[in-house]
Amino acid sequence: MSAALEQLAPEEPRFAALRRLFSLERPATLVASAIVLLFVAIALAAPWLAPHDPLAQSYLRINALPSAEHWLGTDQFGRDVFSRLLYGARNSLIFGLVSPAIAAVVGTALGVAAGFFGGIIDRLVSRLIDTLLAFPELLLAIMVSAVLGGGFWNVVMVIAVAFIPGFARVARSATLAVKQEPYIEAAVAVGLGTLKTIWRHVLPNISAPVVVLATLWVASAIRLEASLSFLGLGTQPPNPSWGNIIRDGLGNIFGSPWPIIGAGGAITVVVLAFNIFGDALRDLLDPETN
Amino acid sequence: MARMIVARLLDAVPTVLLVLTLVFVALRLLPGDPALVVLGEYATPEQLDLFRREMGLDQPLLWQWLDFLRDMLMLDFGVSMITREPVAQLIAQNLPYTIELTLLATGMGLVFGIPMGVVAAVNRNRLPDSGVRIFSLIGYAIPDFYLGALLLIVFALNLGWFPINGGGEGFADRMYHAFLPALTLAFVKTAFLGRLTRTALLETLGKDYVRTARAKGAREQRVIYRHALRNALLPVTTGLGLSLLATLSGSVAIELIFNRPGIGEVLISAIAKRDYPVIQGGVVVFAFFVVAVNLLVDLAYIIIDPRIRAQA
Amino acid sequence: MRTTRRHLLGQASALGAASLGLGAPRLAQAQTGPITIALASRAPTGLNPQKTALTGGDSWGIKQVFDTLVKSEDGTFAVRPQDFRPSLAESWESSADARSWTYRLRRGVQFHKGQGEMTSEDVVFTYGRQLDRSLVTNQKALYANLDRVEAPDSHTVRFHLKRPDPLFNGSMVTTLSASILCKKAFEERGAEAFNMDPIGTGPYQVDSVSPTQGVMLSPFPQHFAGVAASPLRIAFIADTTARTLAFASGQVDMIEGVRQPGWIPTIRQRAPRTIFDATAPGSFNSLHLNLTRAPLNDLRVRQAIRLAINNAQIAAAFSGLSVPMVGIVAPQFAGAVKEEDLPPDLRYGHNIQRARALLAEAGHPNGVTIQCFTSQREDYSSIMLMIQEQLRAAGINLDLRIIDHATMHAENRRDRNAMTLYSSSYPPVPWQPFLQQLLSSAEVKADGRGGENYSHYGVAIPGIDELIARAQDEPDFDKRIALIQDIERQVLRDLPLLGIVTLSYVIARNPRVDIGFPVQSGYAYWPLNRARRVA
Repeated sequence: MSAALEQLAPEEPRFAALRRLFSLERPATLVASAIVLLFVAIALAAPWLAPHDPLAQSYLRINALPSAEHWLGTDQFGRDVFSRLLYGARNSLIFGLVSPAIAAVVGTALGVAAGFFGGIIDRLVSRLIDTLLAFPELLLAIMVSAVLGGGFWNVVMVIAVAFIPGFARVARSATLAVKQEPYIEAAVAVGLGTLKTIWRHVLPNISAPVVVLATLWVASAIRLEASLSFLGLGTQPPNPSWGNIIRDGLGNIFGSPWPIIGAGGAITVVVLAFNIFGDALRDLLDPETN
Repeated sequence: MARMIVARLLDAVPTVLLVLTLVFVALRLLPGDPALVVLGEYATPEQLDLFRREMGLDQPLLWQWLDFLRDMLMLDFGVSMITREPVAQLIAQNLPYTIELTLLATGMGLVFGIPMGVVAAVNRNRLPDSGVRIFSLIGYAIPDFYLGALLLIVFALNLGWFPINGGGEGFADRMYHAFLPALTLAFVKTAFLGRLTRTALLETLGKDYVRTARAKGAREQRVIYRHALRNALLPVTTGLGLSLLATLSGSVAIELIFNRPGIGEVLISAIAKRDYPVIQGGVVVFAFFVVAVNLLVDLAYIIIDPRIRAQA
Repeated sequence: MRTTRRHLLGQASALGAASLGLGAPRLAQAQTGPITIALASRAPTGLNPQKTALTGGDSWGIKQVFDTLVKSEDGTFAVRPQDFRPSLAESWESSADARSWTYRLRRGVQFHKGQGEMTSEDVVFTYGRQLDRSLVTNQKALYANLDRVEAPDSHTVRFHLKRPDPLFNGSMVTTLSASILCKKAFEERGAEAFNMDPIGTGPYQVDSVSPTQGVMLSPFPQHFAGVAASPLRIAFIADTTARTLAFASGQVDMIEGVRQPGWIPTIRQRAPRTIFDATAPGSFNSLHLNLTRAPLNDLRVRQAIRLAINNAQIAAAFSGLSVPMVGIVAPQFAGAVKEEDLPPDLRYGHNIQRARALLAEAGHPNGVTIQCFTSQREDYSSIMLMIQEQLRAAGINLDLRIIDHATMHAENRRDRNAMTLYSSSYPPVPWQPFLQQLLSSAEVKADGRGGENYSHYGVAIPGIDELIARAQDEPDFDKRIALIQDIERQVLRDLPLLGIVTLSYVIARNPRVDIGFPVQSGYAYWPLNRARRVA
């Protein structure tokens, strides 16, 4: 939650090149990239990797301890927690990619419109951004999901709405900077249409900070989805999410801590890896933001 | 300076109005009907109508909206639909718990974060720097509800060092109750402030006046603390503002886990019960905080940096 | 080899648990101060028994502060007319047609805090508020059969009913919203002030009500049945984990249990001596099938659903808190039908093959998908998630949304649900579930003004109203029960509403507290005037 805001903080200056991104000189990035790859692979291959159906209930083995058959034990419905964890990766990956992508498209459109056209549009958009920023992210998400209810697309939209103001802000200030450049004036003078000017000259020049922001917010989206699911407002049960695995696990905290440790550890490691990876990507794509 | 404050306040008015309207519209979009929620399973249609009339829910929406704006401008938050308790009183009872949690967490974040950032910057690219970097990365990554649950189970339940839940009575007891939840929230804050301090300090250490001070033969300690750190505090102050607001919302999940009274908890349960006046009051308080914190950040800027003061 | 590995894994996880400090059961240390019970609500709503939107937690406070005219034996439900016990009323009698009921009040009963003696005026005032159509009061619909109430003298009260009710004591005398209010205090203070500082005759008087500390109660020294043993605190902890931890740490003496599979074993693991006070039957959990929606309008599809749901399995998952239902009335209550007494065609049992065959016959050889929603409250969501998984085996795919509790109720009342799980605690008045859930006049309406007949039974399939009316006009208790069983069989034939399981209301109690009686059945609250610390 707080991380998304806080990641807007300035980063220390570093100079990285593509060949150094995966070089041995930066072992952390290398390890992080490997974890990200592994995470994506698990998410894609969950149906083949999972030893059990993540939804199959078994009333005879409720809240079982870890065993050779159930590596992380079972939950209150006798479902295999390890399989749910693997499928949860798939859930996290989808939310982590789709929500920031939608927020990036909508937020960039708003920000570019505000920055490029100025005037009343700028005032309206800026006001909207301020308003959305007045709601803390999680609170906004809670309110929106109370209106829409849970369910996949609703949660995607909830997270996207929470991220839109950030993208709009970055896109707006980047557009304002680009707009000063002589080539924009030239393009308009030549009679190139407004949309074409934006498409050909503005968007390419502001893409770097937007892409970097999107990458960094993959991690935030994964965390936010887990928080919402933990609060019972995110992914719909019986579908597994790392957040609702923790929520379910707390119900059996005296019996077995493993579901909580497993899912909590998974979120931490994946978010950590995405943050390191995103930082490295930022150094590569957008060194000026430093 | 006074003029600047007034200008900032006036600037916030349309934002607050828009927030209020958005909240109003969002609430009316919520699928639940407060009359059904309040009256429960044995309600007769007659009773439902009676309740809606009492609460003004039978009025046209535009009317309700104007009423609502008027009440808000007069700082009249109304009464809870469920307990009939004044919303202002409900907020006054719960807000102090959220504020003390936020302040305690922020205090911890500052106490740990700034020295951490200084140590990292001074020892750039050496072991302490890496240590701080690793800590911040983990601080960012670990979900607060997960960390909170772990701390609660280990330190409150099993070691019995801290109370399991509640807000406490009297100053010392309240601080005692707030400690673990504050520590949970302070984790990400420390990570954030530490990193911010390090970055800002490194940047100022490279600036001309610092080099000048060094060239003049000022001792390194003095250079760092007297010249560089003071200037590095500017971005840290902004960050602190952001972080304060983030904590206010982050406290929702934490209040739930530690079963603390607080404004987030009031809001969540009001949303569940469709208690419109309470939701509206709670959101207005949040919006007020956003405006107030931003204003305070601006003021802090002026105090720290005399150049801005000269402009104002 | 295999055993060894499993053994090792077991040891490893025990080690892991120990590292978190989870393994060691700590016996909670003895406490001083009031006996504390923590309930699953956020904060007290109030203590006026006639207030709407009261939570289960509020009911506990009201139960201690007020008395009713008549009561059931502590820890039980009075199932038959002769089971009721005197409380504020010393004796009572009904007319032969069961339409007129007369109560003689106990003399010298005092209200709290020097508010004087309780008389028939207070009783008439209390019921009068329920009869006054211009007042919003709790459970008003329960009093629909009450015509008027009068006081022939200061210690006699007479009730006149519209239709006979041989179980009048059960339907509107022992219920919480019929608790006797102090007229003087209520009128002096007004409803709002009375709500936070109420005056009753009960064994406890209210010291304070606070959103953070809960309700503080102290023994009422002049209670007619003797003085309570210990002061009492009613605390409110909505979150299930926080509540469980408060109990496990010994901070509170009793908590409202979490009604989800595996919870009781989990508590036993931590504190093996914990006592679970559970009501049987507790809530009735029934599934409404919306007869106006395809494919549920097809009897064969409804039969397939009945055959695919395994009530016994669901009940077993709740570790002793739950009993499978056959009809709509809980098996523990009069009026319920037993499986073995049913004609063979109504003994459904659990049979996936037949369910699939019926679906195919109804034109769905590849199965059906049904959209529905339920509450995220743990009992609702647990039961629906189990039903969803059982139906999956028969090719019936539930597209289930789990939404917040208030939203679920509101959406149900607007006829938006195809399959509605409905949970309600009923007193042993066997006709109540039918009046509330099956009568055509209770049919759900899209504008939210209807009732809780979510299946549209009686309208989509007519006939039930006449059966219910016949039972309602019968003044003799036993004959009425026989008619109720006819209704049960008709419902099993048409399957608009499927009985699933009963689910006990459960309080986990630290063995250091004795409450003075065993809890067997009853409402989801009980008197704590005999509660005392024993360790």
